[in-house]
Amino acid sequence: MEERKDNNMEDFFRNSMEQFDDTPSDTVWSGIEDRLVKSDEKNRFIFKMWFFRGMFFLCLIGAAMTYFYFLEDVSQIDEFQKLSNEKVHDKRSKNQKREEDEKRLSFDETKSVELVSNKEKVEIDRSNKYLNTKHSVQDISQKRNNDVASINYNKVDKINIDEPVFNVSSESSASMISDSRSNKMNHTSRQEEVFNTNRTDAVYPQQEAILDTQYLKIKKLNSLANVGFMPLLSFSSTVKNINSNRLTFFSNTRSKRSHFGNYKLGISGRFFQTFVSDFDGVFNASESFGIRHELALSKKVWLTNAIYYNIQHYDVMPMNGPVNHDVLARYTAKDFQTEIVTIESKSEYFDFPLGLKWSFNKKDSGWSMFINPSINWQLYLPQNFKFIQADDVVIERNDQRMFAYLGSTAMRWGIEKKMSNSMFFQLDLWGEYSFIPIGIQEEKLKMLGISGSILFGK
Amino acid sequence: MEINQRHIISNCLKGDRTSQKRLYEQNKVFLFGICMRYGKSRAEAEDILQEGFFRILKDLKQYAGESSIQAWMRKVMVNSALMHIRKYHKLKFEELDERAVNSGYLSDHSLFNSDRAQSIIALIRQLPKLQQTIFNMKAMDGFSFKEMSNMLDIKEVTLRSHYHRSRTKLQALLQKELH
Repeated sequence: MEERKDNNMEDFFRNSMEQFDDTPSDTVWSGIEDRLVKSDEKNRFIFKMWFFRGMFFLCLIGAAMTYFYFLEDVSQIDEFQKLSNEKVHDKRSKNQKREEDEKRLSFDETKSVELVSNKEKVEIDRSNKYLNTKHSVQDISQKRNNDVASINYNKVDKINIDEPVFNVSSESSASMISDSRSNKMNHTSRQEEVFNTNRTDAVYPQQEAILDTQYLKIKKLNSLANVGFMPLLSFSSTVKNINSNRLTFFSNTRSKRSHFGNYKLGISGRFFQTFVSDFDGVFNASESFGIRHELALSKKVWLTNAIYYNIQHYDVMPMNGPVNHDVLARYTAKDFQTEIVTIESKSEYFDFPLGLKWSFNKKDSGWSMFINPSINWQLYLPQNFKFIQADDVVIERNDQRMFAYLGSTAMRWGIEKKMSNSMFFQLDLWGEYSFIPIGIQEEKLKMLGISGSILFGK
Repeated sequence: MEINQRHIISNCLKGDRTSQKRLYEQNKVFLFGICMRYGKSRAEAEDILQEGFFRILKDLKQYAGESSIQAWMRKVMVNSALMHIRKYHKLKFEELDERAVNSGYLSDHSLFNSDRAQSIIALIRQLPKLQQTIFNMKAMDGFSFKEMSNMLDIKEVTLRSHYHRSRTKLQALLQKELH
C-alpha cells in the first residue's frame, strides 16, 4: 500500500506492467505480412521505374550527341560562320563611312541632307539564311528630313542571322510528374487500406468499446482529411483549440525519423556567377530552374539527378582592360577592324546532373547536412554574343550551332530541413567546373552559386 | 543476446518470413503492452503495434547490436506510437479525453485482482492525451526530459510541468480507487 502512495509510484506502475500478458489478435500479424508483401512489390516497382527512366535518359543524351556530332553538316556551319563574319566587316565599313560623313556634315550643313540620302540600311534575308547572304540594300532617301543625330542612333546594328531550331522534349519531366501523381494516389489508397485493416474480434470491456468507436470515428474523419479536407479541418481545429497546450503540442510536432525518406521529387532554382579565364570582376547573375529527383540507396547515400534550364550571362574580357587576343580569337574567325573591349555572352542550355548525395543526419532532428558531387551532361542551345567595340558600336551575333557535352563536374554542399512528413527543403552552395572547353567560345567555364529546392517524397 | 535470436535477426534481414513471424511471436506481448499504454483503446493499440512492428522489420538493418533488441524495439515502437498520435489525435482528442475520464473505466478492473497491468493501463488512459504520452515516455519507458524535448518539440520546462500534473492526477486516481 505504501508503495502505491509514495514517490515510488513509477516503480509500482512499471512492476505492474511486467505482469501484462495480453496478446494482440491474429489480424495484426496478417496486416503486417500484407504490408511487407506490398512493400516488396513497391521496391521492385521503383527499381523498374528507375531503370526505364535511366534508359530513356541515356537514349535522349545519346540521340542528342549523335545528332550534333555526326548528322549535322559541319562544313555548312563553317561556311555560315565565315559569311556571318563578312557581314560584320561590311557593316563596320559602313559605320566608318558614316563617321566620315558626320565630320563632313559638321562643316557643311546643307550637304548633310545629300549624304544622309546616300546611306544604306542593311537588311538580312532571313528566308534564305544559309545560301543567300548578300545584303539587301535599301535606299533611305525617304528619310531625307531626318537630322544628323539619327546617324548616331543607328550606330548599334544588329545582325540576327539565325533562329533556334531545336525543341527539347518535355516527355521526361511529364513522366516524372505523372509518377509523383501516382505515388500520391498510392499513398492515399495505402492509408485507406490501413483504415480498413481488420479489427480484432476480441471481447473487451464495454467502456473500451465506446472508446474504440470514438477512435474509429476519428480515424474516419482523418481519412477524409487525408483525401483533401486536411487544410480545412486542421484550420478549424486550430481555431477551436487556440491557446490549447495539447493541440500546440501535436500540431507543432514534426516527424523525427532519422531516415529522410526513400524517394524525393521536386522543383529547384539556382542563381550563379560564371567565371571565365579572363574574368572581368563584374557580377552577372545567371539563373536556372528545373526538376530534381533523389532516390535513397541506403540511409546515407542517395542517387540524385535533375533537369535544369539555365540562362547564363557573362562578360569575356575586362571592359576597360587589356584586350586578350587569344580569347578573342576563340570567339571570332577574323579580327575586327576596331578593337573589341569585351564580349557579352548569353547562353541557354539544359543541364542534366547525375550524382551521389551523402547525407549526415543530426540525430533526432529535422536537419541534415549533405554533399552531392555529380557529373553533368549539357545541351547548349544557340548562343548569343555581343561584341562591344572601342567606339561603342555593339555587334550582336546569334550562333546557330548547338552542342551536347558530358563536360563538367559539380558539387553541392548544403543543408536539408524536413518541413513535414513528406516535404523537404534544401539550401546549398553549388559549384561547377567544366573540364572540357564548352560552346563556340571554347571556354572552360566555372560557376559558383546557391540553389534551393523543395522536394516531396516519402 | 542469444545465438538463436541473432540467427532470427539475420534471417529477418534476408527477408525470411518465418523468422520475421518468430521475432513477432517472441516480442508481441511486450510490445503490445507498450502500445496499450499509448493508445486509448485496444483497437488503436493494435494499429500502433502493426505500424510499429512493420517499421521494426523495415529498419532492422539499422539495429547496431549495441543495446538489447528489446530496448531498440521499444524505442521504435514508442516512435511509431507518437507518429500515430500525431496523425489521429490532433483532431478532437480533447473530447475523447473528457469522455474517457468520465466513463468510470477503471471500475471494470481492480488494482487488487490478478489483472493489475490492465488496471494500470486503464488508469494511464484516463489522463489527457498529452499527459498520457508524457507520463508513458518518462515514467514507463525511461526517456529523459531532454530526449523527450527533442522528440516532441516541447520545452523541457513545459514537459516537467505536464509530467508533474499527470503524476498528481494519477496519485489522486489511485487514492480514489484504494478507498
